[in-house]
Amino acid sequence: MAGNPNAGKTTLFNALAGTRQKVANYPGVTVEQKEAPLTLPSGKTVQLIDLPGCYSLTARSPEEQVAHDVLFGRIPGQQAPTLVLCVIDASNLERNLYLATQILDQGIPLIIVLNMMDVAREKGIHVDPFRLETLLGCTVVPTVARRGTGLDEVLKKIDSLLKDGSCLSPEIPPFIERLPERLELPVQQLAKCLSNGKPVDQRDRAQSLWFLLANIDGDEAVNLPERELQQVRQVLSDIHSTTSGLRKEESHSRYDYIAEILRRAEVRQEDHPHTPTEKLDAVFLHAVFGPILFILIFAFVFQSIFTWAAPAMEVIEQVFGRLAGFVETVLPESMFSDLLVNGIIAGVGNTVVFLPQILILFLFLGILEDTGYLARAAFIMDRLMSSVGLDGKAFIPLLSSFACAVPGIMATRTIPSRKDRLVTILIAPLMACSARLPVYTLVIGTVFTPDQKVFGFLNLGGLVMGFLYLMGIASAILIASIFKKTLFRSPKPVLLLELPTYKAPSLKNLLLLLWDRGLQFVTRAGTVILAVTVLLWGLLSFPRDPGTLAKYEKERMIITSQLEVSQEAKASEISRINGQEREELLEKSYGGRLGHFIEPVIEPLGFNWKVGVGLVASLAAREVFVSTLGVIYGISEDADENNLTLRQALHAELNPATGKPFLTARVGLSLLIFYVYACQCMSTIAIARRETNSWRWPAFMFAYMTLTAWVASFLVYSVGGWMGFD
Amino acid sequence: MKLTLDKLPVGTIGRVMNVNGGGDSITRLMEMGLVAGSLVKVERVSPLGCPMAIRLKGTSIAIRRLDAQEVLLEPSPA
Repeated sequence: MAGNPNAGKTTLFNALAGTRQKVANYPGVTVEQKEAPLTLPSGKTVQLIDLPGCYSLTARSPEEQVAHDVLFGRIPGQQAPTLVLCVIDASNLERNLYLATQILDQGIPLIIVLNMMDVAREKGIHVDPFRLETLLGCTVVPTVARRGTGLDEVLKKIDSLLKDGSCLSPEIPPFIERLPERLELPVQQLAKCLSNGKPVDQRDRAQSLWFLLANIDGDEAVNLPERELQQVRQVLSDIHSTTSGLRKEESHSRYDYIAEILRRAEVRQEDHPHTPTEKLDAVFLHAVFGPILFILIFAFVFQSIFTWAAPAMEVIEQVFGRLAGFVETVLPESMFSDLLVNGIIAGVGNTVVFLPQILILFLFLGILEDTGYLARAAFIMDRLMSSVGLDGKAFIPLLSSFACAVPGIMATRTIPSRKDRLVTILIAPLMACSARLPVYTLVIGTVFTPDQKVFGFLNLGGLVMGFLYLMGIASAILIASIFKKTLFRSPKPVLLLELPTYKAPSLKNLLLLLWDRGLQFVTRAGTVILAVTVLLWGLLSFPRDPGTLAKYEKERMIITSQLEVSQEAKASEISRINGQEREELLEKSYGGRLGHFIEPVIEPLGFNWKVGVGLVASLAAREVFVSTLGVIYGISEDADENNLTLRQALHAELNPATGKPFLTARVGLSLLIFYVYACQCMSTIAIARRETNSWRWPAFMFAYMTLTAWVASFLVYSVGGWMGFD
Repeated sequence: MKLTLDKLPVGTIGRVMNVNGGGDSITRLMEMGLVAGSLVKVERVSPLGCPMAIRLKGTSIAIRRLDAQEVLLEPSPA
């Protein structure tokens, strides 16, 4: 199933496939492959493949290359399709026929699904499907996919075409058979070379035209075998032309060809503007009200993922906490129950807790996209975002990343260009997410006096917090423009943005989108998150030093055997001993040793091994830093950022070298800056792996962010030192 | 004085005479119908001044001023 974006392809696919659809990735690219089994009226089952929406088959983007490769059977392990459905917007025939006639050129059996017939009628466009059928020589079925009209007919036609496979002979031969001279010569020459002496058929010619128009240079070049590439270059130099010259020729003559089809089909082509859309755009794209509405709409979306997801996340945390508590009481205390509770249940909890934010964000994104507003948002933001070299649509992922980079990175899928998408994924974790807040609050609360007034009215704590947010944004802008000038150079930023007519969102599409996004996150990213949680649990729990265990067991025995002490005093004494035991076990664990091991590396930043352990543990999620410090200072397992005992313990910690307090304002600021930049989040890495379909980019992300964090903290700590701070 | 698409006032219609350059944005716009002979109408300009929204073959699409400069229009209004 192929078709233009906005032609109703997704709606048709959902209507035909429903929940039986499976989403996978094409090998090596981030392009999604949607497939579903389809039962025909005859009882036969076929596999329906949804191609990425595109305007043309000429490969210049991964989506178009995939569309072409599927049609030509060039995907490893996949046969060429026996039948193609091309979904066409009947209200916009001229442009939609561009892709359809490109597919007709290939000579593959084709059914044109003439969708959105209702919109066409409203716009005063009259199309006769039967006339179109005889002209083009392929089956044409009128539908209104949104209302389910005509779907049975589509299935019937698939059945009958698969049975006899007959093609009508067209009144107008396909474009490829009547090329203008300037295309005919190179196509003929290349087709001869490629057919190896066999007689040239329509498919060879179509393939040759595609080769001549494909990107053969630059880093977005298509994958052509060396021999074919040589021949394409040879032909281009023979006719003294270039790929872009031929493309211009093709667009022009294909539109002439389409104009002839429309003339002979007697399609009345009146461009009545869609009045509701005109009126809505007059408001939503108004010079003053447009930006105001934009800010209001996205403030609302942001508020919803930042604040309204919180109760659901708390419920999930409580449920998993209760489950963990239940397992702890049922199972005898053992390594196995600890693994179950702190490894597996915690890992599944760490995954599920993201779902409220993901589902809420995609609910709003789905509504905005379906209604047509998302395109308007990109239209408003394009100038601002393109000044840093990013796509207008990159705005939404970056905004979402202030709540959490995981849904943010998932939202980059709306960005059409691969390079822009990668840059956006790489900088998204620099936005100060909500998991940084506990770390910021703890450190600011410990080393500064947050309520201290600055200039009489500003709060010092708030000021530092605001500064950290700004640091993240400014660095993201700077780093994005550096990446765009080095790693992801592209000659001119591409803008491919259609402003579709406004329409009511479809509930079915929304539910399927939420189901798909939620399921994909749990199955793809969730497995990585679970694995890393178990790994971190292992690092922080092993080895369990028998000497330490025995020592504290003995101390506990002494306390319990004392007769003259009250029960309350015993309980508090035991909890103190438990805390000390946890602290010592953690110090002697692999994670604790890792903290000691990295101490020389983080010492220039003013950190000690305890902070090191916190850094290692907070790979699970940034806020874990706080509870790990709670354990390390022997306070409790669930100390939060406002815990006063933890703050006092941090204050009391002395630097063994100087004998002065360890956590000074200078060290605190260095630590805060480290958290602004460092990629201390396995879930971000897991989702980047999922979205880029490789470990390369998440590895790069982790490396550049950690390096930037180290350098920035080092600068802050050193400059603080030169300025005479402790 | 040559008339290019970026100079066309909002609400007016022009006819494309030629499209220069072979950049990616321009080739994509050509595939969407920005070819010689087509009618284009400037519908509106983004609140920040760029891009512009143009009506082309029954759809509204965005085009940056930089790309619109490459689109040559017939001198007399259509």
